[in-house]
Amino acid sequence: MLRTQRFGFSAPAWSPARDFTRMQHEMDRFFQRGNDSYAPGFPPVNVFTSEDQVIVSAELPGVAADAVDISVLDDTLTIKGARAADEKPEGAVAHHQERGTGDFSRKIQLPFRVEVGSVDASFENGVLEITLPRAEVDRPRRIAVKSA
Amino acid sequence: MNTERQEVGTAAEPIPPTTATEAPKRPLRVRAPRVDVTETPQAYFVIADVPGVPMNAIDVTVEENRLEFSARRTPAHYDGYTPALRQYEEGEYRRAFSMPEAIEREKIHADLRDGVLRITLPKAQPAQPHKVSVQLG
Repeated sequence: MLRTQRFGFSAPAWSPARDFTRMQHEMDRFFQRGNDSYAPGFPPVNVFTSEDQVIVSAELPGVAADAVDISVLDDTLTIKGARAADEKPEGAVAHHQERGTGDFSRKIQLPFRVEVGSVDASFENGVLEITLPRAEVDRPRRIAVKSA
Repeated sequence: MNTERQEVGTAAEPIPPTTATEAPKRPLRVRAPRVDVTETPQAYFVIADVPGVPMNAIDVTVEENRLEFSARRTPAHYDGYTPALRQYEEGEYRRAFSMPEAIEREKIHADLRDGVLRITLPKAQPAQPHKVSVQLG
């Protein structure tokens, strides 16, 4: 099984045939990824919510901060960008090629509309963290009941 | 169910409100990072995606011609937030490779940038064959 290597943690000897099959699997998986929210897309995200804020963190290793484009429209967050391929040394032979390269785009549906001007993003060690505050118009309002 | 945490003999405490913010108490998973491995006549190059890990949490060991690297990741925690979607795990990265040729251990170089670990493993140079001229006569 190809997968045993992942968690079984053995030290596999190289086998070109197996590597090729593995590469094919990875490529199939890469192209099957969708861009819809809550579908397994790229980048993978973790989302945390509170009553008036959402934190979206995305794994984007090897992507330069200026190669990521974040946009928000109402309650939809879009993370777009590209990952450049590493330059291969001259005459190099590839044994494993699992890391994807190229353009990506992902839309995420947020639980509420967002105060676009106050969205904050940071990027550290290949993890993008976006903090999105709830729009003022979308906040629950407490209504005082006047007693006669 | 974690019943060990309940103290014996104390009066029944009111059940605390659901602490959905608390991360599930399960062991962190070990992930095999995605890698690219290339080879030239001089060296092996291993590139691994290890997002979320600082340099001091990375461990690279080479024994004979076996490379092993691991990286421990501290899971993000946000007070007062509820996890709504979890598509990646923040555990430990670990992977190992056996190289067909011996490695020059002293010259191994590792570099971490933007969550990508790049390890260069120069091959041990075999003793150069001496050219001996033999006078035939």
